[in-house]
Amino acid sequence: MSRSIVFDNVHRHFGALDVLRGLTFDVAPGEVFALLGRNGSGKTTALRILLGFLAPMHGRATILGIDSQAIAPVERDRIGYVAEGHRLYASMRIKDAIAFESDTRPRFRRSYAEHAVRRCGLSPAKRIGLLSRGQRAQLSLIFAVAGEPEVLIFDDPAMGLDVVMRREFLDAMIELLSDQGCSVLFSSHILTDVERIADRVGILDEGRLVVDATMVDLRKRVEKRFWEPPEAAGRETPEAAGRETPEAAGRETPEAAGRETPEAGGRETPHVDGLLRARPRRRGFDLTLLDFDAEREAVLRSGGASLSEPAVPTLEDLFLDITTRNEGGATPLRQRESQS
Amino acid sequence: MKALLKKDANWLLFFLAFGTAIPLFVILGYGFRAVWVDPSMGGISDLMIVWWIGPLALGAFGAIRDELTRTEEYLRHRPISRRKIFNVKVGACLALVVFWLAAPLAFQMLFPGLWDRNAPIAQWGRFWHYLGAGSIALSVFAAAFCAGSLRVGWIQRIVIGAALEFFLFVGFVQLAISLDERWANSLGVYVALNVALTALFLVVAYGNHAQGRDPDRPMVGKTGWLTAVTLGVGLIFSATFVIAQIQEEFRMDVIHHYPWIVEDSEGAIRLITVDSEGQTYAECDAEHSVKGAFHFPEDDPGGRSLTQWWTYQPGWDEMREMGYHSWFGKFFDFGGRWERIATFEHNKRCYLNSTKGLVHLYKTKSPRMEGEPAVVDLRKGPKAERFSTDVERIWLEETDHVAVLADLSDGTIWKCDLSEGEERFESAPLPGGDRYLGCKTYELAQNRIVRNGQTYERVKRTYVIGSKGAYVWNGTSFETAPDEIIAHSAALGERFFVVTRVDPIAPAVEFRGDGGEILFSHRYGLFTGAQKFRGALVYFMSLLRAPLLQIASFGGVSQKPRATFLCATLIDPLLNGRNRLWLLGANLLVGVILALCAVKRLAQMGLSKGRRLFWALSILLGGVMVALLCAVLETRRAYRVTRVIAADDVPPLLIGGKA
Repeated sequence: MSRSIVFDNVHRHFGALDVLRGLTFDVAPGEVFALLGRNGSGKTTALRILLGFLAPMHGRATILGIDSQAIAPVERDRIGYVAEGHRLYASMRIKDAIAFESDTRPRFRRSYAEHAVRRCGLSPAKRIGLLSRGQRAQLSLIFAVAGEPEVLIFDDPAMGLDVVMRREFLDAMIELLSDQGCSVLFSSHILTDVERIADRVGILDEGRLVVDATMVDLRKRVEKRFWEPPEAAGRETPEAAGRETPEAAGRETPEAAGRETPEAGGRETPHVDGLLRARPRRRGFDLTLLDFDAEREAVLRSGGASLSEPAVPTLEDLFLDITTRNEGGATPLRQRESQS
Repeated sequence: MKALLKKDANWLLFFLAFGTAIPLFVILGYGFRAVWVDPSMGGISDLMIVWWIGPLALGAFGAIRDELTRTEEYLRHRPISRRKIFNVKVGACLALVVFWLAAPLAFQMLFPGLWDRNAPIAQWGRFWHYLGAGSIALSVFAAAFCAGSLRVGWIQRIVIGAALEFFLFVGFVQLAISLDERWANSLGVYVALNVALTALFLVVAYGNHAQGRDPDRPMVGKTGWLTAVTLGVGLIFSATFVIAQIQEEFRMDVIHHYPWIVEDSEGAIRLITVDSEGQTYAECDAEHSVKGAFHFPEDDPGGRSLTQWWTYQPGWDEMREMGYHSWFGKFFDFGGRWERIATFEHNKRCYLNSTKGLVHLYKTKSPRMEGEPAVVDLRKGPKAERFSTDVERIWLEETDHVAVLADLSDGTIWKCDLSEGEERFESAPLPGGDRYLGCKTYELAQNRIVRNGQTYERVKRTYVIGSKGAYVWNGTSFETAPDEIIAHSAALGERFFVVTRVDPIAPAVEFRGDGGEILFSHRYGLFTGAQKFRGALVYFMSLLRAPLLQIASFGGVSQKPRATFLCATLIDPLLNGRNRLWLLGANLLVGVILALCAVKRLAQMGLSKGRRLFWALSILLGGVMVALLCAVLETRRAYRVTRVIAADDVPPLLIGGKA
C-alpha cells in the first residue's frame, strides 16, 4: 500500500546543530501519527521539511507521493497544515480570513468553515488579533479541516486549547478526518491527547526517531514494576514503625529533590535484558521493562529480591523514561546504544 | 489576486494615506507659483525628500512584513505560486509609488490650481517632468525591497540596503551636477536608468524570494551570480564614496598641520609651524627652504593661504557647498535646468534654460502688479532670433535686474534690463567688435594669512575676456578694463606664487621675483613622525579602494573637466597623474592577498571551481569591499557538510508491528 507520508533518512542541520539525523518513518493512509519529542528535538523541522518550507541536507521526504521539495502549488490544496503558534493575519476579521481562504484555496468549504466558526462561538466580525490563543487555534484547525485535505499536518495543534476543547473539538476533528481516510501527522506535548487519538507514536530524540510503535504495541510490550532488593525488603519501613514519613510531614523527599536515597545509592542497579530504565526509589527501583518475560523475571527475583505486579505505564512515563537524561547526559536508549 | 491584495490592504492603505498626504502638504506649502509657474524646480527639494523616504520605508516593510508577522508559511501553503505572490505584492507597491508621485500634483492642479491668479500661465506640462524626476522613487523602493529580501541576517540586510540607497543617491546627484553632458541631461535617459535599476533590483529580490530564506543553503544559479554582481557594484560605489570623503578629511588634517609660509617683520619669507590654537609660531625647515628674501607689495602684506588647491575634487566639493537640502533639488535638473538670471520686483523673473536655448520672462500676478500674468519668450535682436543651445550667463555683481547672456555660437553678448520693461534682448557689443571668449575672475589682493580670531579677505572682480582684451561692465555697456589691474592680478595670481607640483599631500610651491627668479621654494611632505602618521591614514584609505579603479586613477583618467562626474568619487587623487606607483602596487597586493585568502577559504568550504574563480577575480578587481561581500554571502554555514548516518545503522528500538 502506498504511504501518505514518507521520511527516508532525512538529515538537517542549523549551523553547527544537527537537528535531524537520519529521520525515517512513514504514515499510512488514514493513520494518525503522533510525533513526540522534547523541545528542540526536531519535530517542527521535520514537518517544515515535509511541506517543502525547508530543504533537507540529505535524504528525502514525500507527501502524497510527491517529493517535498517539488510540491506544485496546486498540490498544496490537498494538504492541510496548521503551523506552530497558529499564525494568521492578525489584522483580518474572521469573516475576511474565511473569504481569503475561500478565494485562495479551491477545495475550501466556506459554508463548513462559517458553520464551524459559529459553533465555536466565534464572532465573524471579530479581528483575529483580538482572539485568545485558544480561539486562534480553533480557527486554524477549522481552516485546515475545511479544505478537505488528504493529509493533515498539525504542529502542536493543542497549544492554547483548554481541556474541553481538546477533548471535544480536536479529538472529534481528527477522528472524523481519519475515518474519511485522511492521514494525520501531528506533533504534541500533551501526551494524554496522543494516547487517546494516535494510532502510532514516534518519539524523536536528538534528531532521531528512537521509538516508532503503535499505541497497542506500546501498551502490550512495556510494563512497569517496582523492584525491591533483599536487604531493603527485610528492613522496617517508617510507616511500619509508626513514625511520620517525610511525605506525611510535608517535607521534600530525597527522591523528589532528585537525590539518590542512601538505600538506593548503596545498591547496584539491576542489570537485565529488556530494561529500559531503572529509577531509584526510597526502598528500591522503578523499572520500565520492554518485552519482559518469565526468564528475565527470574533473573531479577534471584537472590531474594521482590518484584511488584506489573502496572500499565502511561505514555508520559514512557516518554520520560526515554527522553530524560541520566547523570552522564545520555538518554537510556543512547546509553544502551553505546554499550551495544 | 484580489484576495492577495486584500490581505495586504491594511498596511497598503496606511502607506497610501501617509504617502499621499505628506507630499500634498509639502507642495501646498510651497504654493502654486513655486510648483507650476516659476521654472526653477530645484527649489522644491522637500518634495523629493518625501519621495525618497516613502518608497524606502515601503520597500523595506514590504519585503520583511511576512517575516515579521511569521505568516510566510501560512501564505505559501496554498495553491498560489511564489511568482504570483511576489508579483502581486511588488505590483501593488509600485502602483502605490506612482500614485504618490502623481496624486498630490494632480490634486494641486485640479483644485487650488484652477482658481489661482497665475493659473493662466501655469506650465501644466511640467507634471510629466515631475513624474520623470520622481522616477528615482521606483529605484529607491526596489533597492530597499531587494535588500529586505536578501537571504542574510538583519544587520547585513540593513548595511547592504544602506549601501544600495547611497549608491543611488550619490550616483544620481553627481550625475545631476554634471549635467553639461548632453546625454546626462536627458530626462528620458534618467527615467530609463531608473526603470532599469528598478528591474534589476526586483529580479534579484525575486531570485532570493523564490529560493527562500535558508541560511544553511548556498545561493546558487543565476540568483547567486546576479545578487553578487549587483550588490558588488553598488557596494564598491558607495564604499568608495565614503572612503573618498574619509580620505579627504585625513588629507585635510595633513595639510592643516603643514607649516605656513609667512612674511616676517623684516620682509623675509619664512616657513613656520603653528600650534593647535594658532597662538605661537616656530620657525622650521628654514635652512633648506628659503632661497632668498622676498617682499610682498606694500599694499598687500601677509602670508598666503593655500586653500585654492586643497579641494579639487569637483563633484564632492560642489555637493559639500550645496548642502543636503539642495542635493534633493538636483533631481529636478534632469531634462533641463532652468536658472534664474534676473529679477525685478519679485514678480518679473527671467529664466534661462541653456540646454534648450530658451529664455523666458515670467510676469506673475500679485496685488501690487498691474495687468495680467504672462510668460514671454525672450529673443535677441530686432529679428527676434532664438538663442543657440550654447548660451552662457554673464554674472554682473552690480545689478540683479539686468540679464546678460553670451551666445557662444557667434561670440555675441546680449542684455535685457527688466527695470526698463524690455521684453527683448538687445546687443551689448564689446568695444571694437571683439568676440566674447569667456569670463575671468581676477584677484585684486593677496589672501591674508588666517590668524586666531582674524579671517582672511579675498578681493576679486569678474571681467569679460575677448579675443583682444579684457572688459568691464560700466552699468550700461562694456568698456576696456584698466591694464594695471589685470597686470597686478596676473602678478598676484600667476607670477609671484606658483604651485609647481599639484599633489594632494606633497605639493611644491615657489615665490618668484619680478624677473621670474625663484626667491623661495618649498616642497611639502611627510617629514616628521606626526606627519607620517597622518599621511599613513591617507594612504590606508587608498588601500581600501577597488584595485580596478586605482589602475584607472593611475592610468590617467582625468579628474577634470567637471563632466567626468564619477571621477570625483572613484578616482584616487594620490595616484592620479601616474603618481605613487608603490601605492598602486600595495593596493594590488592587498587585492591579491585577499583573493588568495578567499580562494583558500572557499575551497575549504567546498565551492565549485567556477564560483571560486568568480570570487577571486571579483576581489582582485574590487578589493576589500568585495572580499567583505564574499564573506557575507558565502558563509561557512551555508556549505557545511552533513555527516550522514545510514538509515539502518541505528533503527528505533521499539517497532510496533514490525519487531
